[in-house]
Amino acid sequence: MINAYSAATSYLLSHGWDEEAITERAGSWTKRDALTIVPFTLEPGSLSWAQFLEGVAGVQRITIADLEREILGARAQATPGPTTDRIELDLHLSGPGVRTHETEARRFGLFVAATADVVTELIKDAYHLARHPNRLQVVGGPGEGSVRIQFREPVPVVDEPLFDYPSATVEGQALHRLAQIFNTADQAAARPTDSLLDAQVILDPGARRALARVARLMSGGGWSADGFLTRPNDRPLAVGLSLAGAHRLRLSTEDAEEKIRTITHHGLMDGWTWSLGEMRFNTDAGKSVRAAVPAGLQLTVAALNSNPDQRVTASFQVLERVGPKGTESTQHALISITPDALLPVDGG
Amino acid sequence: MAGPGPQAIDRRQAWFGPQYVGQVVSQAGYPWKAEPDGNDVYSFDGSVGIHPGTSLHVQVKCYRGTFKHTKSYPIKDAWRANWDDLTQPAYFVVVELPSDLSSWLDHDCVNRWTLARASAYWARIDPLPPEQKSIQVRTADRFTAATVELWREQFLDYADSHGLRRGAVS
Repeated sequence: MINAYSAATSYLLSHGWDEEAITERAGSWTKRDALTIVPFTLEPGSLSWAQFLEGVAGVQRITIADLEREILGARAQATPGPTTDRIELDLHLSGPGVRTHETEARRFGLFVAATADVVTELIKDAYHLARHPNRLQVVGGPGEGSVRIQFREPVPVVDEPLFDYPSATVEGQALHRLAQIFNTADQAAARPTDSLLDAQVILDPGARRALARVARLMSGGGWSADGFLTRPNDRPLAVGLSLAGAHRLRLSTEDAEEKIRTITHHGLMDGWTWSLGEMRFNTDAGKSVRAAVPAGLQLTVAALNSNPDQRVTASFQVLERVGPKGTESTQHALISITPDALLPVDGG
Repeated sequence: MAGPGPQAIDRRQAWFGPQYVGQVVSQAGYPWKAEPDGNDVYSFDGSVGIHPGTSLHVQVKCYRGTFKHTKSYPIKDAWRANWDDLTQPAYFVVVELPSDLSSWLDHDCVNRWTLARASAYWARIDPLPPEQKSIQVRTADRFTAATVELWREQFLDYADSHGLRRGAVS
């Protein structure tokens, strides 16, 4: 479902508006001397929606009806393709940079190259490698949709190092990680102050730079991406990144003004979300913690979460993003997690 | 929606109020957009383009007669339901008109001017605390072109105090 805040701010980004500030309730956007306030609770049909449309339509010099149509109709409706024996990230690009299934060739080529670089950098980050060959495949041929692009993991080679993950290749794992980051960025676009995006992109500088480049190319190309990650023997995972999401991803990967500290909690697992790479955890002190989980710990977390009574000891990096008016957000990223010894069962 | 032909006095005052407010807003130099007749979906009768990119909403009530110092309007459930969504300053304006319809506008044919025997008074309605039961306007708060300038200042103050204008000079 389209998030109105994300859709509205995607429109603003693609029409020369800049994000001025983010508060607990709203974002403000400027274009020359114009200022519009966009509340996170924005919903089509609401008073805030009417107020937003009226203000922006005056600046853009279009009718309110045309503005509303452009905002709400901007993203492609993707459906998952057939599952193959390899992991695929199937994306439909839409938005102001796409007209009748066409987009600018050079920027599109750079986007494909940058995505391949991100996958390589995510692999290097996850497995602490100094280098890794660029093996990601791209699928040619006609396809429905706006401008469709399919990235596919390579055919596994015999001596492929097998990791504890439901994919034979590291590229497949990295595509999944990329899908999680895209989804987290998209969620951040809907609610910038309630996001784990900064925690999800605690990565090696190379991976952060590569992600920032993809985000910049998407913003510059005027593309939103919607599609699916398809996996053998598993359900397709919906993937989406709006222009506003790409903007948030760029800010999170480029900005570095953060305070980081480490904290350890004891408590109970409270949930795990594959599409976002995100865990929930209740500490013994009664605090609920949402945390980004790096690729190397995701299977462990998923396994621990499958036991509802599993007590664990978890260490987190705590990131405090510092803005001009003080702390803007606090996010957790998991560093390590170990199951606590189960108490002996009294057999009577 | 009104049908064609002359309408009852209640309908006429419902038209006259927002149009009077619009004239004052025009005099101040700001765009005024009145809601189409009978279509105040969000319990507002019009909006002022107070700043490029921002319009502020105004509810207009019309009163025939002369109130002494204050005039109160109980907050209807529908108003509260709509205004709970307010994220920017919003205003309530009461336009006062003579009871006698024929004296609302006085056309001086010799001097070729028109006198509107109307006055208006305003109050800000945001934020609207749950315990507030009515909206009150006072004769001390006369609505004039200067009021619209004040509203603009209030909007910029609002944006500054909520951290929505980073480059603002505090």
